[in-house]
Formats: sequence, C-alpha cells, structure tokens
Amino acid sequence: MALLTTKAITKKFGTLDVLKGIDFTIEPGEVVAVIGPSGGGKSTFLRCLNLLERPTSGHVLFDDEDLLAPNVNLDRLRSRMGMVFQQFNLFHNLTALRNVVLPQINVLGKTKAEAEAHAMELLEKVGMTHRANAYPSQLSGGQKQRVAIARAVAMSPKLMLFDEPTSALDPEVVKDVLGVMTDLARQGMTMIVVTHEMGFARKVADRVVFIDGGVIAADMPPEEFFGEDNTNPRVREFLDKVL
Amino acid sequence: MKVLFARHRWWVVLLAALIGFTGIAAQAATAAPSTDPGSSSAKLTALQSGNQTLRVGTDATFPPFEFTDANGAKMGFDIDLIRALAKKSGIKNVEFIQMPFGNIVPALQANQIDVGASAIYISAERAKAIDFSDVYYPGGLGMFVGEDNTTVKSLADLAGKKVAVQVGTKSVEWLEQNQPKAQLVQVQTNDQMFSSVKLGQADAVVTGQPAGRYFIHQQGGLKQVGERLTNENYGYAFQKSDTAIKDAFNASLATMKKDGGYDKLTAKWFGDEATAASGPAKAHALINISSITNSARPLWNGFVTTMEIIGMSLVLSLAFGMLGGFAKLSKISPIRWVGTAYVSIIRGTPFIVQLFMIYFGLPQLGVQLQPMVAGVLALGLYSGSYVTEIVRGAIQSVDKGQMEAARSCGMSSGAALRHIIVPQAFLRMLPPLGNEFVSLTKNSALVSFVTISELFLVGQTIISRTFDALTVYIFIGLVYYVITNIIGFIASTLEKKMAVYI
Repeated sequence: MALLTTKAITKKFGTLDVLKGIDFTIEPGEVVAVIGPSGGGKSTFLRCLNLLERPTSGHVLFDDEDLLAPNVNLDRLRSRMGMVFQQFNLFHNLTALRNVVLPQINVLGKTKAEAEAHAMELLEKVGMTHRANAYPSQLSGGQKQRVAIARAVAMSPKLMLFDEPTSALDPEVVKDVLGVMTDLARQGMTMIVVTHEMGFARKVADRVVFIDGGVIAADMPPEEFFGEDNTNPRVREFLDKVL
Repeated sequence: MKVLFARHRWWVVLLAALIGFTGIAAQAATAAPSTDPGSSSAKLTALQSGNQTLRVGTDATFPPFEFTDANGAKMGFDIDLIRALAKKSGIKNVEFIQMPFGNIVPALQANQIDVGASAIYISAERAKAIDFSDVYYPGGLGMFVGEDNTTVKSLADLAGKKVAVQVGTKSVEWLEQNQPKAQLVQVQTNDQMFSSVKLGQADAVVTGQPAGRYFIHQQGGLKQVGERLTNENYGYAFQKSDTAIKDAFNASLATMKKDGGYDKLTAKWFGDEATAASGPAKAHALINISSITNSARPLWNGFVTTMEIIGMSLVLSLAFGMLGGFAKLSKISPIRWVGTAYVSIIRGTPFIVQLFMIYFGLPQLGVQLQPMVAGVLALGLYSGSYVTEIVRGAIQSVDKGQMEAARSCGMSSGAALRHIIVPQAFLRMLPPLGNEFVSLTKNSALVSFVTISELFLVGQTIISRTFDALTVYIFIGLVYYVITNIIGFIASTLEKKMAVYI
C-alpha cells in the first residue's frame, strides 16, 4: 500500500505551467531522490505534497486521505509529513531546543518535560546538544540544518520531505548534513529528497525521479539512472552538465 | 503567506470587535434632548429631588465672572450667583464643568450641560440655538490699552491697530462691523488677551468691561480708554427644551434682586466702580515658582488624569492597530477595504476635527459620550491608524519561510502567528511604536478642548489666575518632556531585552 500517491497534479502560476501532470507513488521505507535542471518544477512538486502550494488540479493521497478534499484536517496530515527547507527556516525567536520542542507541545499535545526529553535525544543524534540553548542567529548553516532535521523528526512523521537541504551550505559541512540524512534513511524513514547531490542519490536513494519541464521524465533505481545504458537524451544532457 | 492566512478567520475577530464597539456606543447613548415641555418640568423635579445634578458649563478663565483658585476650585460672580439661584429654585446638586467658551452653546445643544454660565451676552444669533434667562448683569464692551499708550483714545484710533479678542466672543463680531480696519488677534483665553497687550503682541483689548476692570484691579498695567462701546446684557443660557428650569431661575433672580442678596454679590466681585478704570502695573517676577507650588494639588490631579488618558488610549491604540493591521493583511477583500478605509480616513483628517466630531457631532446622532470616553476614544482611534501601518509592515517583514516552517509542522496559522510571527514582528514594531506613543502623549494635551481637566488645561486655568504663562508653560513642557523620554527609554529597554535572538 503506497504511503503517498499523486495523480495528474498540475500547477500554474499565472500563465506559467510549472507542473504538467505528475503521477508519483512512494512506498513506506522508500527513499526517493528528485533531481533535474533548475526551473524544472522539482521544488514546486515537493511543496505540492504538503500543500504549501495548492495544486491547480489533480489529487494528492497521503496515508489513505485526499489532501485536496474539502473539510480535510490539513494540520493533522501535515504533522505526519516533516519538511526540511533549503533556507532552514528555524524559528528565529526560539532557541535550538525550543524549535524542536514547540511543535511537539503545540501540535502533538505533549507535556513540556516529554517534549524536551525527546528533543534532547534527537539533538544528540544530530550532534547538537552542546548548542541546544543557542538562538539560530548564533549557529552556522550546517548546525541550523541539523536542528531543522531534528525539529521535523521530532514529530515522528511517516514521511520526510527535503527541499534542497544542502544547497545553501558551505561545502565542508554538506557532508555532516548528508550523514544525518543517511542515518535517517538507514533507520527506515520514508524520504523524498530534492537534491543536487548526485553522490547521495546514487548511494542512498532507492529510486531516482528526474523532473524536467514539469513532468517526470525518468523514474528508476539509481544504478539504472546513472548507468551507461540510460540513453534518455534529457537525462544524459543533465548528467553531462552536473557530473 | 497568502494561502496560509486564508484559512484563519480574521473576520470573526473583527466582527466581534465591531459588535462590542457598537454595544459600548449604544450604552453610552442617551435620548436626544426632547422638546416636550412635560419632560422639562420632570427634569426640574428630578433636580429638586437631588436625583439629578445640574450641569453648568463654564469657561473658568474669565475673572471675575468665573475662574479657578489655587486649589482648583471654581469661583467668581457667575459661580456664586448660579449656586444662589439654584438653591433658591430648590435644586440640590450643582456641578460646574470646565469647557472653552466657544463650546458652551454646542454643549447645550448636545445635552452635555444644562446651563451655560460664562458671562454670555444675550444675542439674537445665540437665541436661535438656546434660550436665555432674564438679564442678570449689565455688560458691554470696553476698550483697554497699555497704561503708557497715548495714541489710542477712541474707537476710530483702532484703525490699523492690532486688537486682542477672545475667539467666539461678541467682541469679534462687533469689531468686524464697527471697526473693520482693526486687525484682530484672536486668542483662546481671557488672560491671553491682556497678556498680548502687556507683551506688545497687540495694541488694545476689546472685551467685556467688567473683566477688563477686574484685570486692572488685580494686575494693573492697563487702562480703559473711550466710552463704553456697547450696552449688552449678560444672561444664562439654557437648552431650548428646559423652559421650566429657566422660569425657576428667572423667578429666583427677581427674588434675590428684591431681598438684597444680589447686591451683596455684585459688591463682592466688582467692588467700587469709580476706582476700577486704571491702575499701575504691579511688580511681577518673570519666573514665579509659587505659581507651581501653590497649585501643586490641581497640577498633580491634572498629571494623574493625563497619565490615565495616555494609558487607556495607548491600550486602545494597540487594539485598533492590531485589528487594523490584520484587517489590511486579510485575504477577504471587504475586510481589507475596512482596514484601508480606516487608515485613509483617520490618518487623513486632523485629530482635533475627529475629537470634536466624536464629542460634539455624535450627540446629534443620539450618541453621547463622557468627555473622558470621547477623549480616549478619539486618541486611540487616531493613534491606532498609525499603529495599523506599523503592525502591517512588521508582520509583512517577517520572512515567509517562518510561516511555512510552522505550517509544515502541522501548526495552525493562529498558533504560528501567536508563537512565531507576532513575537518576531513585535520586536520590529517597537521603535516605530515608541515614536507613535510619544506622539500620542503630546496629542493628549488636545483633549483639554473637550473639558477634560488634564495637565494642559489645569495649566491654563492657573495662568488665567496668576498670568504666569512663562512659568507654567515651562513647567508643563518639562513634565511632558519627562513622560515622553520615559516612554522612549521603556521602548529601547524592551527592544534590547527582546532582541537576544538577533
């Protein structure tokens, strides 16, 4: 049973067709890398999955519920989908610890003690306990992103969405963040990762989805995608540029 | 942000606030003045039983008719005579309400007061709007100049000269008709007329002869020249509908003239006619600390009132500003229009016009507000229009990724606003809010126009008695300076405290 399915979703911004009908499915435990050229619709596709952007048409089914149905409890469904942003988007006015604690209390109704204990566990996993009481402005990009991942994981989501999580980072800290994501994948987290990190896509992902011109142009295991036998001209053109 | 805001129903909040406001307004409303003569005698009965208090409007800056002593108590010929007449008419409770002279007739029409007792000349023009009692004192305009002035001896000599007059008084109209070549210097209060001659800002004063003579008796430095210019009479003003009260006062006045009570009062306040027309200037220091220390009690009361006004209107301003700011950010067009209209109308018209419309205009629609309510409402509404833009700007300046991150965790837009957006926006609001509240503090002096005895009005009444404009205005300026600096200090301290995360 698929965890998330999209049926023919399209998205228009004014007269601009960004997504032109995307059918996509992910099974529990799968890790999908979404790659493709800039402006191809990768991020818009990801943002349509938790309705940060509302698709112009089509369906998004998550956990057996239609996100676009009227009267759907969107907040409840979103709490089961963690999201990590390119620009981190940590809450500026809260410490690293409070960033991880607030949604647990506010959305899941945990007590402060429960939420803090869980938050400290996760900060430990991402190697950030020593900066738990620092504000985001006092953290480096890599540190912010690790806290942001802990914040999303703290909600015990069924699915994690990563929107170019390493694109805004200095090269030397990209590895730290990818390491945290690799650990998550190994623990069985279902993940959709929009990324330019071909190494991560190749080694960690179960499938590579190539989005170009608002459609899925390829959807296959990484060994096939990156293999010599892949003769898709658009994929070849893209890979020649980035590799 | 657009999509995310859409799900939260700001219009519910706005609607609730509007309903609440209408409720307050309706409570504050009293019946418009009735013209039924039966209700007039019913009112008199209520006054005689002590159930109602007779509200007497007066501008207590016009010695010897009405002025204020060092303890803030009103005194003068009108005050004594009204008390005596009320007592003779069986009216138990009398309350004097301070207001600028020009507001007395509107206040009668708006049923803010029952009697106008402020050395008002009986005129056909005024009698269209209100009723007059019988003559209680013969008045008439006199002409006064500095004691050394030898060039102005008659009305004709006023051509091309600056003549000080009090705004809204008979002198203005009379001079325009009888000496149109005089340049009128229109001032707000009685003491400012005499001061402007002493300070060289005007060459002459044309005002009621009794007031001029009283000034000479008290301060000296002026003399009366020429003949009495007119021969008007003073009367008390009543609402058109209050015939029973007016009749009772007329009967009591006739009685007092017969029994000697009236003569006693005129002797007490106007003294001997013969010696009153001129007098040398009395020695007067530039700065008189005693003008402040002698009036410490009323000044303190005025200060407390000013702080109350600032405090209440500040809260109201924040409330209006929050509502307005969120209205302007609403996804729903009509709500956005309300927010836009609020800012454009309130920010686009003078505060004093709004204040007078609320206090003097709304009663014509049956909504009568206490002076304090009207003053605080006007200040809050006015300042709130600026706060609206501050709130809108600050919320829009918060990175939209903050809202997206909160929503993607499953937080509602309300929770995101409460925990994330508003706290961050509030920090950005602090510097402009500090500025706005400093403005509000200074504007609060303007509510003295609707008879609230706050610091500025208390100062004016002290000046009307002591003529120490310099001392009193310096002192009052200093008090405002301290208040505004404290507000600035609080805003910057709060900002530093809250800015830990920047």
